[in-house]
Amino acid sequence: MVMKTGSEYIESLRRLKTKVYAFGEQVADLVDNPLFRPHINAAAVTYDMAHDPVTEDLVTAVSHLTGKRISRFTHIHQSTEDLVKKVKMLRMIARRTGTCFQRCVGFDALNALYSVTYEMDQNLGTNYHERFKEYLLYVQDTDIMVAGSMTDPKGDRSLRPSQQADPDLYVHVVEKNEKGIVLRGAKAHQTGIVNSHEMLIMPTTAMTAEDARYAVACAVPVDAPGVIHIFGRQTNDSRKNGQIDQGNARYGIVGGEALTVLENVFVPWERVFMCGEWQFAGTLVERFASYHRQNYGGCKGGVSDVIIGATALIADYNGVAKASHVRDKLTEMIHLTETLYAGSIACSAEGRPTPSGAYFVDPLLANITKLNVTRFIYEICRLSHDIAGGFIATLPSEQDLRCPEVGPYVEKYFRGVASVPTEDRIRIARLIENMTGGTALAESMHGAGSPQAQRVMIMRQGNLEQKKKLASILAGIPERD
Amino acid sequence: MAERKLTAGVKYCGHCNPQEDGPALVRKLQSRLPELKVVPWNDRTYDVLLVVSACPSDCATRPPFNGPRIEIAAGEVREWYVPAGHPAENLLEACLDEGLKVFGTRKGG
Repeated sequence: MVMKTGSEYIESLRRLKTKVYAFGEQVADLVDNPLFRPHINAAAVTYDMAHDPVTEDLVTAVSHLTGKRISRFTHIHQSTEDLVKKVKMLRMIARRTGTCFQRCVGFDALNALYSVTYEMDQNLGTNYHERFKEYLLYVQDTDIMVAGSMTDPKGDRSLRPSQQADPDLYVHVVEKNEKGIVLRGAKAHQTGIVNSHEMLIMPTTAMTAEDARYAVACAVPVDAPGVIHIFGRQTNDSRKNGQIDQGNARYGIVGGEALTVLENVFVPWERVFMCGEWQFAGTLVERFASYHRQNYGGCKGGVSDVIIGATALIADYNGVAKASHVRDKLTEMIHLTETLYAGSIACSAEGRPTPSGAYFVDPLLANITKLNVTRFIYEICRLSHDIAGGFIATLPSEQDLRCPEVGPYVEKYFRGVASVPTEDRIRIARLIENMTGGTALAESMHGAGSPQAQRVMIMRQGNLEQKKKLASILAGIPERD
Repeated sequence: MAERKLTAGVKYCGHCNPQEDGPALVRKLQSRLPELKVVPWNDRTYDVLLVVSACPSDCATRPPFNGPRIEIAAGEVREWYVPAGHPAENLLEACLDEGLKVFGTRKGG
């Protein structure tokens, strides 16, 4: 099969029977519903760009399994060049969509499972890697969109999975038979899952022997019997019927997240890639998390490019573009954006092969990049608000702009420089408002793991003892046992 | 100028953070060389491979191609190769000369 186009991807979603709830009702027509369509459009861009001569160099790759050209989103990294191209691809697509296009999560899950199943087999004598390669061939051949399903609801965070009052707070195996396994539980914050074809389930934390039934990784169609998605609210979801007030009407904000409930879901053995091997749950989590944290200087770099552009435009429209403090703040926004991008490029360039042959990022630099995102995006957005002015928070609605009675007042009193139509100024203000606040900001904090998760990995890999030794040598302190 | 059409297979870098608009550069080149026909690099046959990177990092993948090629990065002709006596030599030189007018400097050869 050839790579899908955006419209082929969208049409393929119509053939699924995905059970999605939003606002207390089951959604009948997901694809054409304005609550979901912007996220679907954003994902469709990843398909169209594989066919665009200008972008295909980043969005496609050559499969190491078949030698065929495939979507990079289904590729296993074979070099540091592949890792760098991934980051460049993410920035390039984010510059077009101005938002999350969702496919990186499954991309990272594929890469994490490829190398970890190999290592599991080498250490434990299992046979998951060959099974996973068969699944990978299927994904590459069909060019399906795969969601990465890691985060469990977690309940009482002080307790291990097996210690929870409700066992379903972590996805676990409730039955094994000759045909496969049965799962119960839920996955939270599932980016792009309602418009994916399949999900790759992985454990969310390191496990102990007592947690063995929670150490499970497998692929499940998003419309499999027993799978229910409850779509998350976003800060602008009551604005979906207009063109201006939601800011980015075509592609939306963030990725469209859902809580995915697994109610006794059957998974055949050929789609099971970990089942009880608790010793490798932590390795899989770290592998996936580092790949995913690698992304953020790419995609958030691209999103920030759009925010910077919008902020520079609003400065033009407000007549303040030449003010030195405005230019200084724009410079700072560029500096922060390129610093994030530099982190993603660095952790990719410093990547290394795993025993499977697949390449892995430098995990310390990847975690540092994502931790910077939890700060820098807030600062970029703060500077954007500073330059744009308070009207981004107090603007009347699109309906008021169109209203025969009050529209002329909106037109008259929200004009900036005389040469720019008021509607242009309002459109850019709404883009800034939606890209820099609410759900979009929280996503920068917690997407790919909360800051403390990055700090734990940074401290683990920071080699503090070596740093102490360096200081001791210079201070003339003799080495002691 | 040319006796026949010169077909160029174009390979773009991906344009992640472009300093130049690659397709606009190619259109400009075509407007100066009406005999130049442009096709994607993965088309079956062309006379010359044109690699266009939109910033100085020049990261476009180089497709396997044994014939003449011109490589442009950030609006600058970086490198070219024309085998002596190649049927496309004159056309390629014309294209390159026109390209230099578009892109400014001549560094390789």
